[in-house]
Amino acid sequence: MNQPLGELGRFAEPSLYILVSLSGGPKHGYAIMTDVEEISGSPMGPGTLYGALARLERRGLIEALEPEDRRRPYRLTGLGATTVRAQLDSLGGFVRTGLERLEGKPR
Amino acid sequence: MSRLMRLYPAAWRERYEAEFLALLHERRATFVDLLDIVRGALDARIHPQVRATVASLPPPDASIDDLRVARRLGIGAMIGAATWLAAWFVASIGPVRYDDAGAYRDGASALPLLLVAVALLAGGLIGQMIRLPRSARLARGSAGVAMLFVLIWATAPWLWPLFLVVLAALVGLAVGAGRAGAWPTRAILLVVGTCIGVAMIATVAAATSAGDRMAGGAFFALCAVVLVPVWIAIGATLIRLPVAGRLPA
Repeated sequence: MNQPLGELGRFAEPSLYILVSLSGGPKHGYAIMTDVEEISGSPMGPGTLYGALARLERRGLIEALEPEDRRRPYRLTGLGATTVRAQLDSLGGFVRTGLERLEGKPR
Repeated sequence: MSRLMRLYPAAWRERYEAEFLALLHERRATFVDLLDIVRGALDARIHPQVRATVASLPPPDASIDDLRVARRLGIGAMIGAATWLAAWFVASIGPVRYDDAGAYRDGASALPLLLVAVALLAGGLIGQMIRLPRSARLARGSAGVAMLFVLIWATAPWLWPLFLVVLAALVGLAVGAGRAGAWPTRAILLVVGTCIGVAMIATVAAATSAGDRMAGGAFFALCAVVLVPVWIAIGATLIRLPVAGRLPA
């Protein structure tokens, strides 16, 4: 089942970055922040990070693991993996179409 | 930083505060981060993602029996809202009388209903004082002030400055209850917004209808009717108390 991220409003893009970050394995908040900054090239604020984490957790796309000290790692659920794959496939199709048009290939 | 955390709802803090503070410990927060945290807190209040559980509610210092009483007083406050509406309806159709100062509408026949309604509201405010934790001093103190002044005002409804004191105390109750995490954001916004709006309308009406007692009375009745959602908020926040969840198995 693919659950669209579009319904997350301004949290849709940060959520996708978080899902991509967690695709590489479980991470806690700070690790997600630094990883997202590497992926996207721009920092993600703590309020935005936890706003997105709460939404993803509520929708069952990620799950919290047992805390390590005060830090709590998160991991992708099966639904989360399906969703991020569908989102990336969709973006991939969009990118291919855009590049083809730029190169002047017929529709 | 822990002060900023208070901007977030109690349920959110219970779930995320420890790890959020751990993150901020690892990463020195910039000014932009602080703005982002405030924005996140507003979002968490407007679009709550974490549902309040019985455990996340601030533990009332009252016993289960006390909370049962508070719930009943909440039901009474809701009934009081209906009685309040009926009282102002009766007052608004009272006979027009004349004296040396001109015409006025005699709403004396509504006085018994008004007194019953105000007594039920005062009961709701007592319920809030029972229900709120002792640490919520602003809310409990404001509820006491509102209860006292609403009872005084009921005996002389034309003294609108007393009514303004009641409105200010109700705002204090809502803000204090919000700070204690005892009221949902919707109830706080409803009470604060309504009280400020009604206070502004009542002040303007008192200034513009000076000398015209008929117009002044009509404006005042309108303000009183608009206050009904506040009564409902006071009653509803008591009725929703998780008394059953606290009963021993």
